Order: sequence, then structure tokens, then C-alpha cells
Amino acid sequence: MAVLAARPLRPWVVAPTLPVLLAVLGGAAVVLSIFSLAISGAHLPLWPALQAAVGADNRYGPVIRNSQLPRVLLCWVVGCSLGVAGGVTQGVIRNPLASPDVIGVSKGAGVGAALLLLVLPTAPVIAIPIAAFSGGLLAFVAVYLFAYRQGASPVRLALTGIAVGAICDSIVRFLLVKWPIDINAALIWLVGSLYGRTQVDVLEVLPWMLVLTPALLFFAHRLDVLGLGDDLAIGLGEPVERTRLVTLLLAVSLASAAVAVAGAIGFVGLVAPHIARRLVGGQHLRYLPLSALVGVLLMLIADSLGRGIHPPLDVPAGLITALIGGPFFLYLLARIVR
Amino acid sequence: MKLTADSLVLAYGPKVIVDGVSIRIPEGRISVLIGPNGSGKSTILRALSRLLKPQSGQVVLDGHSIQTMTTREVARKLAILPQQSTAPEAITVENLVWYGRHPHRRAILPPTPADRRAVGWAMAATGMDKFRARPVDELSGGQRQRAWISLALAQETDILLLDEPTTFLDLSHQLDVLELCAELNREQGKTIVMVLHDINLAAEYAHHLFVIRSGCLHTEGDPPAVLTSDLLRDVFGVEARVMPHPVTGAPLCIPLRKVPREDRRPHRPAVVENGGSL
Repeated sequence: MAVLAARPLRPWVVAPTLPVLLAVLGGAAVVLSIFSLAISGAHLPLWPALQAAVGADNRYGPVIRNSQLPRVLLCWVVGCSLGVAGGVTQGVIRNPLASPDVIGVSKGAGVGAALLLLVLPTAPVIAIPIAAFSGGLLAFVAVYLFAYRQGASPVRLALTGIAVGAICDSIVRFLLVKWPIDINAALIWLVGSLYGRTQVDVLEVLPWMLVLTPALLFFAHRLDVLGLGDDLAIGLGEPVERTRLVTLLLAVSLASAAVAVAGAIGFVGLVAPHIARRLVGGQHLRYLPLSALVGVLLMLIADSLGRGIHPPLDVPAGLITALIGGPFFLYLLARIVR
Repeated sequence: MKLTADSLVLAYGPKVIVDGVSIRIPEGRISVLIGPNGSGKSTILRALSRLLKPQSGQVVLDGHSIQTMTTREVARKLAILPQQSTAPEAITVENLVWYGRHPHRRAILPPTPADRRAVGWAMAATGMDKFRARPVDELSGGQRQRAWISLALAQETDILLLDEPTTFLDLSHQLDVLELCAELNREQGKTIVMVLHDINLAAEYAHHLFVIRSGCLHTEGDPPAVLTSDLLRDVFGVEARVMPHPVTGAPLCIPLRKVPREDRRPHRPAVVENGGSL
């Protein structure tokens, strides 16, 4: 694992500066958001819908505001959360293949959500995010405790995460087989979709993002120091074990919150930090904000495509991120593991 | 600043590596730990720098037990350069040296003039200031080691611990690093503690030698007193001639042949099992 991490990846382009990149990607995200507002399974005519999206008061206004706007906002919140959480996880685990999925979070959240959706199908909808969030956090606690032996080394965290994830997966599968009647809702949640999300969902996840993202940026320098390896980091006065636990806990909470409302959307937390690091290098204070923006873009692209590709079918965004993320993952493997 | 260790017992898991070593690091001098592979010299250095928590005994830095100080407090008094360190990819020398200010800085506050001075000085002291904008991966082995030493110097500590700083370097780069250490000791009065493999280089540059054998302190003292053919036979298992270096006068060891194990004088059992736990 450490060998993978040590091998450098060359940046793609002669680096444009960070503010330029943030401005360009931010602008692209805004434009994409406006178009995304108009893309719907309900066949909205593009031009009036666009007008309604930028504020004109026509008959498409209510649809745009009530069903399209929350989804676009969720793309921002979820994309940003997953991008930052993934970046921090990769930094702490010191492994380019790490992501919230790898340390068990998404899988644990899956167990929580599946339990609720399948075993208690009558539970109120509001309980799903709570169950998912608890599942994600619990899975991480289990991973950390199992990995802990005079400290939790990055390699042990990654391997334990994979093991706990596999256990969670099999629990979910068992639940699906045992209660096949409500399988549909559970499957869509497990893939990750923003279908039918409302203002309430946005307000549920927004506070987490607004608090945890700045908190993690506050740790950016310390994450850089962790990247030097445990011995040197301790030598430089960093309480390595504590910093690792605190930052992972913050990142896991952030990812759990996102997964709780959007479902187990994969690959955003893995791919976004990679793209960001290629563009601006490995300093956390530089690449985490960019990783958040890339996450937003990926979510916007995935969700817009999901709505527009085959209307009236709403293809889950998680399917499309996996469709984009899978090949990227293979490409990474081909490049790194020679 | 005083650094001492009192009856250290050091272990990885149930395996005791170092059994009851007490040492007092001479202030303002260069001390070198020598000993055969697996004797525990690097383990002792790790304990001295609080990277390894002793099973019993304690390391005392400046009157306080190192385990009761915060790791940040320790980092302001003592710098450690571990055996192998990987720099973040594509990082420049100057940015690497900036990491040395970590124990002195507050999370998001901008660097102070004192930080800038320390970084500038640390690069000048190792002659790395002319490479400040160079990526670390493009440097030669010796230059890279100088960059790492700059990082440790930027911590502005009285004590500098180096774990095998010359490993993987060719002879000229080894001399380069050791000359730098001698210079830092002479001009800045730094207390330097190193683990070295090469006995002759140790004899040349150390003021004080600690000879470690099977997890115990075998002998200590200045090189001419310590390095005898008896010691080389008993500790390193090598029949050797020791003579004054024709130029510097430091003891020079010329190995002749390996000594069969039964001809060495016994000292203590190599590894002591720790009460059969596990």
C-alpha cells in the first residue's frame, strides 16, 4: 500500500494557478447548475425552463423551484462533502485508492439504510438518513477499533476497512434476500440517487457541510505533516494518533451525512481528490477546495445525465458516477501499479 | 540541554530489544551509537526521541520525563531525522524546510519573521539556499540528506538526533553529511546523536561513542579509549588491527577475518523473552 502511495503521479498540465482553477471550475459548476435546473424527466422545454431557472416567472417556475432546485443544491452539498471527505481520507490513510468507501463508511451507511427500508418499511422517510448516518459512523468506529494496536496505522486502517466493508455488504445482501418485497427502494438507495429529494433533505445535510468543511481545512497543515510519515510527523511535534482520529472522524461524519441523504454514491470521494491533486499538487489547503468543486461538478454531471439520458427514467446518479469512476479507477491502477 | 535515559527497557510487542540501558548524552558534543545489526542502537535512538515508548525506565529531557511532555514541546527542544523519509512529491527544498517550523507555528496564522529567519538560516547553514527552488526529487542523495537536515535545523533545537544519516550514500556524500554535522556542532554548539554503521567514520567524527551489544550498553567513551581489537572481536565478531589514522590520528580499524562465535566473550543473552506473554 505504501508503495502505491509513494509513486508520484505527474501533473497533467503546466499548472494554472489555484485561483484561476477555482474560478474556472466554479464558473463551470454555476453554468452547469443552471442547465441542470432545466433538465428533467418531465420534458421541460429548454428555453422557458432556463428562463425560469434564472428567475423568470413563468409556468415552469414551481416545478423548477420545488423539484429541480433541491436536486441541484444537493449536488453542490453532496459533491463538496464527498470531495473533501475523500481528500482527507486519502491524505490520512496515505493511499491514493482510499476513499470513504474503503474505510467502511458507505457500506456501513448501506446497512443502516437497508435495515430500515427492508425491515421497517413503514418507518418515516426522515428516519432513513438517521439510520444511514449511524450505520456509517458505527462502521468507522468498528474499523478504527479493529485497526488499533498501539495506534492505528494507515495500512491497517485500509485493510480493516475493506474487511468491515465486505461484512457490511454481505449483511445488506442477506437483508435483500430475506425481505425481497421492498427491494426496489433499497436498491435505489444503495446505488445512490437524488430522485425525489426536497428542500428538507438539503437543509438536513447543509449544516454538516458548512461546519465540517471549514473544520477540515483548519487541519490542512497538520494533514500535510502527517503525509511526511508517522516518525517525522511526531518528530515535528504533531500528535499523530490524535490528529488522525480527529480528522478521520470529521471526514467520516461529513461523508456519512452526504451518503445519508443521497445514498451510497460511489467514486466521487475517490476520483475528485485525484483530479484536484493532479491539478494543484498535494498540499491539502490547495487541493481540498478544488476537490470539493470537482466533486460538485461530478455530481452535477451525473445527476443531469441521469435525468436527461433516457427520460422519463431517472437513472440514479450513483450509477453514472460509477460508470465514470470505474474506468478512471482502472486507469489509475494501470498507471500506478506497474 | 540535557538528554539522559534511565534503565530503558524497549520492546516491540513481546520481544525485548533493549534491556536496561542508561545513558547520558554529553552536551554540545557529537555522540555516535555503534553496534552490530539488531543490537538495538536505532531502537535506543527512537526511544531518546520519544518515537518509541519504553516499557520501563524513562528518557529525561531538560529535567522532564519525555513521556509527560507534549510531543510539540519535545519538538522545540529536540529534532529527530528518522532513517528513511519520503518527501511529498514535487516539493521544493524551501517548502520542505518550512515543515521544520511546524512545532513553532499556530494552525492558520501566517509565518512570523522568526519563522522566515529560521528557514533562511537553516538553508544557509547546510548550503542548500542555492537550491531552494529545486524539487527535492531532483537532488542527488547527498543534497537530499542536506535538505532533510535543513528541515531539522529549522526546528531550532539544541539537540539533533540522526538515525543512520549516511545509509545509501556513496563515500563522498557520507563525508559531506558528517562534515556538515561536525560543522554544526563546532559553530552552533549543537548536541548531535547519530547511529552510524561505519566504525571508522564514527571514530573520525564522534567525540563520544556508545557501543551497543545485544540490547545492552557494552562500553562508552572517547573513540581511542573505546575502539580496541578486543572490542571489535567481542562486539562485532571481527578480528581486526586498530592503529592510529596516519593523517587524523583517530583510531582506524582494519578488519582481518571473522571470529567464530565461540571465540567471543559472552555478554548477555541476545534476546530476552518478555515473561512469556502472548
